[in-house]
Amino acid sequence: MEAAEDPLAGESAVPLRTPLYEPAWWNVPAIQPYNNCYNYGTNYRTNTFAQPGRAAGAQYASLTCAAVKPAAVADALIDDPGADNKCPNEGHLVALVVGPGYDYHWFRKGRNGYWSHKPGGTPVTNLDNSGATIPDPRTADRGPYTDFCTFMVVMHGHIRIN
Amino acid sequence: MTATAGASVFSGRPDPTWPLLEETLERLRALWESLEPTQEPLPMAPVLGYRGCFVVEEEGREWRAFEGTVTLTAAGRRLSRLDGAREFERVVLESAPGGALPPELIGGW
Repeated sequence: MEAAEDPLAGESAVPLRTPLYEPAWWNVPAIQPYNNCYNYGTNYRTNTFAQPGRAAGAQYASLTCAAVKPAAVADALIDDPGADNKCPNEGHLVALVVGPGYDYHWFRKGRNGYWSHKPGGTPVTNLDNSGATIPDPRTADRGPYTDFCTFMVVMHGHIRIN
Repeated sequence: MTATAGASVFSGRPDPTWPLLEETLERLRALWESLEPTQEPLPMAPVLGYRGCFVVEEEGREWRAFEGTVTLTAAGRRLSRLDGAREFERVVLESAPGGALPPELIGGW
């Protein structure tokens, strides 16, 4: 079963720059409703329900991988489709998924090797739609977010989102 | 008296909200009065996808409906009632303007 796999297998170390799983910091009334999956994925609180590309004047125009990915690139996220669930040497790893025509969603890989996410204004969680922990977002139960788009790297201090 | 309705359905995009007509609010109030109280645990919503709908009155009263249970929060108290036919939820979602909700949500009703 996927959840039983060692999420750190094949990695000599997870860089300390990789974010901690700290839901208690996000799940408070002053933060939780105003920050979404993009805020949480990038580990960047704006209190604006940030949208890919909006800060760069290049917000996505449709709800497809082909539209949302370049919008995130405009915010200075780095596309890394070959990351294969491995943490980068610099920055941290996020994953973009899309429900075509419906919505997009982001996951982020944590220091413990597992992934977590913040669905919209709801609390941060480390579980998928089946209640399982997430060693790999490609195989997680993502509900309507059926399309796995890509892995991307967030370089701390480089990105600008709003 | 004004009220806002909405659906908890998205993650990246803001959830859709819309103003509720007074006549729809009156219908929902009457529906609420017709429902049986319950002490059962609230249905578990999925992490991703549709998680229910809501109505917030200007005065702060708030209803949430999901999978046959309607919950009213007002003045620090929370009451739940059973709505096996999901009529409350249907009325709220059908009050959404065209294009506000994903088609599959409407079509699945």
